[in-house]
Amino acid sequence: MSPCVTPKAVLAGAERLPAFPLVIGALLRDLNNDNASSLTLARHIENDPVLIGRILSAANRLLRDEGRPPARDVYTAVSLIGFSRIRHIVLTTSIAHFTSFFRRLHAFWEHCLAVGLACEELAKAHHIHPDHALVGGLLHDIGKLWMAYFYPLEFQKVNLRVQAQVAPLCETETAVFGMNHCEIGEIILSAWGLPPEVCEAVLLHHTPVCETGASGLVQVVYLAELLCNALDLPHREINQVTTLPAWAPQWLPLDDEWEMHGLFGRIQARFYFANGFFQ
Amino acid sequence: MCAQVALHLPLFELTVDMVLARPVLLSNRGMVILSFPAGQALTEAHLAQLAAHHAEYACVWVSVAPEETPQRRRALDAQKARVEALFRNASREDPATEAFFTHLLSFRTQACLLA
Repeated sequence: MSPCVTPKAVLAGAERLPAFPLVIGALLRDLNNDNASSLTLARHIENDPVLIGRILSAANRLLRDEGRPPARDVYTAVSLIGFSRIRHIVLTTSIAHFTSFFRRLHAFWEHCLAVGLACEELAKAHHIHPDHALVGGLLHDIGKLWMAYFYPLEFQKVNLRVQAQVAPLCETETAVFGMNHCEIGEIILSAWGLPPEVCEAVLLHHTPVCETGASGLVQVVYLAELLCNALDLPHREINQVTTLPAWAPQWLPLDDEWEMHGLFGRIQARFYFANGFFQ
Repeated sequence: MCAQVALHLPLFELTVDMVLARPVLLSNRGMVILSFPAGQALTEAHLAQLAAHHAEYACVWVSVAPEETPQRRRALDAQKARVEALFRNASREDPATEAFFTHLLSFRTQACLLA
């Protein structure tokens, strides 16, 4: 019998998932301010003892590679590594740690990492908030984690049907669960206090609309996933490229091979670099 | 003289004497902290600076093997087949989609041409 998931059930399940790092939402709110300082960033980190350990470990790995002495506190790490880099480390390591609870889904994390990085690249080119883009990309498939965690057999059933090309993914998920992973993801991220534009981007990342998404984040996450599938980051048999939406030429330099190769190349190189960082 | 392709390589694959195909421009909070022009040949000092400023990659020129070998042909055919499989449900009659296909195919086949 199919689960027939409801929004209430999604929320109840979200409370039973491994604890999501609430620092993410707080960071995105506070760092939205151009005047946000390294001190603001360090204060967020020091409120989370687990995060402190992870940040110092990541920062000291970088410092060790450069032959520099280790940082012993968060404030030193922030000043040595730099605001942008530490911010990036905080966001990606927090989400990586969260998804590490789902250890069998290594390819899931690689896909999320790739989409997060691709979102950042697209966001930079179109003057969209890079942190929102990164987090939107890293968490765009959080709904699938929910499905896999609570209904592993039904989740596998969906995957098998999609691989056999019985029906598209979201349609199959709705048939089996009553909701698709985009809808589940939006409910979860809203409950976790993430910015509305990030939640909207997760909700619509399989829907190529251009009327909503005033922040542009909807288009960014949609195209980022398309780019990562095209580049096989990582290689999965289900990867595919659908017909580009009508607004895509405004977002991709399709009339310029050098620029397109540059976009492909940056996403791919950053993925290989980051993937090595998380091994 | 060998033909060359521009490849983006992660930091740990960059080596001395590689020549930048695109400029490197690193910034932090809107301020430029490191800048190398296209055409710059990388030295140990350049690589150290890239690492110190947390660069993740650079785009460099890489030589293409002039001769077509059976291995290269097989690799090219495999990439073409893979890209066509990726577009199995896309309409390539759409000009934007076809342009994307063309760019993707040329990008993905670059690595097959290396010396």
